[in-house]
Amino acid sequence: MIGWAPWALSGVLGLAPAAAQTVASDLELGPLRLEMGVLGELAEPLALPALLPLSPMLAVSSGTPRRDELDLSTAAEAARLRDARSLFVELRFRLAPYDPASLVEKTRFWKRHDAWGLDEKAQDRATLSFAASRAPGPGLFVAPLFDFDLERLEALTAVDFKGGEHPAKPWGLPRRGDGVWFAAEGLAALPLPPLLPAGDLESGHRVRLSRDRDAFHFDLWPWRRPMKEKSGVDRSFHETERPQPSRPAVIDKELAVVFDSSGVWRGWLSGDYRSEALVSPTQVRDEVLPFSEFQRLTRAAEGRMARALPVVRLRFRPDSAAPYGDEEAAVKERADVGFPLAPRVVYCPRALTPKLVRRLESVELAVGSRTVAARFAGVPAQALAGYLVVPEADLETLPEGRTPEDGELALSVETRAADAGLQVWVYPDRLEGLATGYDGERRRKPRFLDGAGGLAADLAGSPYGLMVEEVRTESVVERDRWRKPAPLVRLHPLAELSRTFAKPEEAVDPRLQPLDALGGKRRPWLGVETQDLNPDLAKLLDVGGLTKGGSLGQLVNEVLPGSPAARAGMLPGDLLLRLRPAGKRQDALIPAKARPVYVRAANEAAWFFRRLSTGLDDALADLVPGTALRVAYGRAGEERTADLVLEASPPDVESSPKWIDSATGLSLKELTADVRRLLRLDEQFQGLLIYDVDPGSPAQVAGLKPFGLLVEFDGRPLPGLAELRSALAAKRAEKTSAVRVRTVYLGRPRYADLRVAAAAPAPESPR
Amino acid sequence: MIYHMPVLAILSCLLLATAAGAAEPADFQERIHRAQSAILPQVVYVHVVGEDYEGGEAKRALWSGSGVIISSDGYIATNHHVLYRAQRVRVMLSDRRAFEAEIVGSDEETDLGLLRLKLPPGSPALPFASFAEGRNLSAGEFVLAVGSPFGLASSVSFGIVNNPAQSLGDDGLYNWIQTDAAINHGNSGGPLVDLEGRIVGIDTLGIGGSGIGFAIPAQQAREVLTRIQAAGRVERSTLGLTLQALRDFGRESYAPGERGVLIGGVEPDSPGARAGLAPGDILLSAGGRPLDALYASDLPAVRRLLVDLPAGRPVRLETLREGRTVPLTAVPKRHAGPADAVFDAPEWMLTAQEIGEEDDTVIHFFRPRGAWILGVSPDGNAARSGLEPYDILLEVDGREVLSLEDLRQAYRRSLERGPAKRLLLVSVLRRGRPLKLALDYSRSRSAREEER
Repeated sequence: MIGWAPWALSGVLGLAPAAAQTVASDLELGPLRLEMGVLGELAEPLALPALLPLSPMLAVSSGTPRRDELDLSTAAEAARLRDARSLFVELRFRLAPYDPASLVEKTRFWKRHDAWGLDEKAQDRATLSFAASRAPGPGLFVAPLFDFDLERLEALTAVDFKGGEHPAKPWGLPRRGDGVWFAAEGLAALPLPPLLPAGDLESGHRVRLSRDRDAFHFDLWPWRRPMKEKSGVDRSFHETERPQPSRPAVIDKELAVVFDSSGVWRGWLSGDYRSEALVSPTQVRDEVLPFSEFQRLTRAAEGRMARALPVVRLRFRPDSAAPYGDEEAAVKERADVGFPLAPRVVYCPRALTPKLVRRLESVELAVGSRTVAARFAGVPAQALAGYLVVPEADLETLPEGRTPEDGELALSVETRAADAGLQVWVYPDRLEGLATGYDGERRRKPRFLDGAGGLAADLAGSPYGLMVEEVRTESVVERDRWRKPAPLVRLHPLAELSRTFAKPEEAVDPRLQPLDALGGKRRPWLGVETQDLNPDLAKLLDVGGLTKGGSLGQLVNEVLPGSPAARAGMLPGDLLLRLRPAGKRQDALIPAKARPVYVRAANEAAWFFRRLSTGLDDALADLVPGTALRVAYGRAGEERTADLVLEASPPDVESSPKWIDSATGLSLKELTADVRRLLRLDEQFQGLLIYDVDPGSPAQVAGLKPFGLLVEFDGRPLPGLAELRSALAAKRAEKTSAVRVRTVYLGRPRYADLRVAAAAPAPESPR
Repeated sequence: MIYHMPVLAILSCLLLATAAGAAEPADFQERIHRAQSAILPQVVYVHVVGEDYEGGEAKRALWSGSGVIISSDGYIATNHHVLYRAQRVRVMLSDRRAFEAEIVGSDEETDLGLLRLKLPPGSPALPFASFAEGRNLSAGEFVLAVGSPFGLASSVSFGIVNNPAQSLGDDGLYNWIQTDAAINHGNSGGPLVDLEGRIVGIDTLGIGGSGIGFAIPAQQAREVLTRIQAAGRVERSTLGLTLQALRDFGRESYAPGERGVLIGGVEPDSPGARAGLAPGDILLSAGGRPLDALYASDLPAVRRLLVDLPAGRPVRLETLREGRTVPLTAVPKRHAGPADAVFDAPEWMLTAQEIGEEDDTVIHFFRPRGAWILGVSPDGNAARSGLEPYDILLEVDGREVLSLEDLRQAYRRSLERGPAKRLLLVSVLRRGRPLKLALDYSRSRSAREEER
């Protein structure tokens, strides 16, 4: 590999001390010592050929040197190579301290660490030293730094080959390729060797600058393969040495300049292990973007984004029936960054789970300083995360940016919706694969845009693409194991997104919409109570064939009257096998086992009434009430089909609203069909379900318990919550302190005296 | 003569003084010693080998308690909970003689039980203790608790009566004697005696680590034990009422008036319900006898009256409802007693119990008759098949289970199947919802032992 071979070569080259010393004193090099054992009066020119096999770039040779090999005996050649020294400059600098908490700074830190081998101590405040190459232009030179460090460099000093130190400053960023251009006035006085256009060279020499402990080395070797000129520069830098903390940290990089056979400087070497190319420094210089210009463009881009991108504020309805400890249920509001794809279409790439969608209550946009009302359109029907919002006033859209070429200098824009408003950060970045098809995994993605919501823009600040999370639901096989794939965040061109979401109503998934206030937990409902199957049960019920040995299907235990299943003629004992929603071409299997769900109930009553989800619920989860279904079911060993339409589940105890009276400590719900069924109450029975009783409350003192039914208040029946509320209000208005109530607990009527006075302030409990 | 009179007077005063003697500490110790030596020979250590069904299989269990000999031919009074599910009872007397004892009967409601020693013919008469009669205990009186706490064969502890009529809840048939004489596990069934050595109570309950214990008052104990001796159990009737005191401080419920007892609840379909009683009514009298329960401590006496009404005979109830007196007639029905018949199915690795009205109100609500799963053996056949405690068995192998006997028969039939066919369809009711399970009982107990 390029990395080690030349190093080995230079090390070995150093084995000829006599020759080295001669060269050094002769050439009067300061800190840059030229150690080329093969130069000068080397008695045995064959020593070099013996070393040749170590490097893949050098030809194997034995015996007489070939004609195209380096003939270093010519003084002219030697003089030309001496000129090479003046092409190199040592750049010393420090990095300004940074905020370690910032994610972007962390990313940068690791990039420096990986590329240069510098640890924290070295990166922080140590003086770093780079080998840089002079470039055509007054005092210009190029160092292979990261472009994002431009703003963080301090105490820049350029040290020429004679040891003279000159202050330097950033000059610009090349449009293509890595590296940062600097300018040092003092360098202008030092002559540069003549430079010819690179062209295509058949053969020549390459001089490489490297570092060995304290010394820089120049290494020279010929090459014989034809080298083509390349329009971009792309150097790869390798880590070779760990720095000593007390001395300036040295970043050992390879810089190679190329001379043709007659010794004229033709350009720089650019390449990787696959190919190499000549780069013309003049051409590159013509495409360098001056630093001040770059700064101006960045600020303008930040300002433009901050003005045009809306902050989307979502508010959610509380979820009182959620299991204890459910974090998602506690979410009340959220702020995301939206991207206007059209004046009336805003796309927010941050994912919104189905539960949150159903709980969504209101949407509002904040653009700059104004607030715009909006309505929720839905989540994309395609496999893209996020959601669409339709504002009620036109929004300014950003002009579409030009697609950057591979390696071209562009901008990454990161946005965050904070309480104060929108925060925008713009960084220089070089993207790859955009023009040819960015697939997010193999090509180099925008450096700083790891998560969804990042924008890639051209230098003018016009966004080209948006980082969007793609939803992958199918499992993938990875190393012979099925697993759920990690989320894939890719750069999607904004033009493509605008086309996809041009008509939001058609682009969203109609099944996933917020539910009305009472909807809460209306599930898609067939009207059957089913249970899971297993192989033993399948054998006993003799349905092994239909259910594939008990591995699919659900056993119907109850068919609720008036339900779609009842109307379709289903009976207890039937086996639900498959279902096919209208419009789908394939049946979906109804699993025999429910996905394990961990639930915790608030109290005894909640635990008792809680429906445990079955495989049928899992199968229906993604369907929406109103969907027509064809259900395949088994009865008496035969398979039949039924066509029915999914309904929304009738109000059940989980979805029905709860009324809390903190003075008495009672939490009550109206009697829904499922409670009546479970507690064997007929239709005429009137009362309210005592869902919970606050500890220490008057209700608990009076002996009321969860799971009980409140049936009489002051001798009057209670058909609903409204009657109780008005009766309580009346009693409180009369200042009555205690009221006779009657409860029924498991069929047993009980009497209680309930203190109803609203005086005592109950401790605040969150609902 | 004259000189003799004062001397005699002085002498007689001195004699009286020594006879009274209670205030003197030396005499106090003497009194305690006398009391314990009086009662100790009558207290016995009761050792029981019984069965426990809650782990899903019938398991042997050992426990011990105390008892007191109440007749010369070997009747021993103890607690019901000492004898519950006992298979074999051995008794050790204070003189270290040990005998087997047979259970004459017990009463769960009052937690009293009666044993009879299996004495060899021709045994001498045993010393027996007598119940303190015709006296009311008062708070502060000295008492001794005698028994076998912690299985120690005999021990005497000393304390005072904290409260001679403590009410511990609403459904007792008596008020308790609360004492701080140390009563611990193992004291159950032993006597609480006064300083004369007479039984004032039967030690029954303690609060762990608190130094407070509770004893059944002697008078009620004696009545119950007499009835057990006569019939093996105590026959009672029920009207299906839950009673509440007129002044209920705990519930903050204060009904007006001084007479009667408040009806807190009425069982559905009970004699009280059929008579037309409703919760909130105040019951004034039954069969002409007044039922007054102003405070919670008055309730046991009222209950005793009601449960002793003859079953099957109509009784007139005076009821106060919204200020008007309403006469009603009820026919008390015989109180069936706890249905605690238990069944152990070793091959299924579960235990089941008969559904009774009293035991588990939730289960009884969902199915008035039948059997429910008391326990499943951990990792046993039933447990692996998904059966759980508190499941109500509806059907086994297609046949309905309406009683524990039905379950027994289903079990026996299931054993007749060959090893390859040991799979049963079981229908249960769990939390009110029907569920079908496949009970695989092909794995034998020895196979399971090996797996462990």
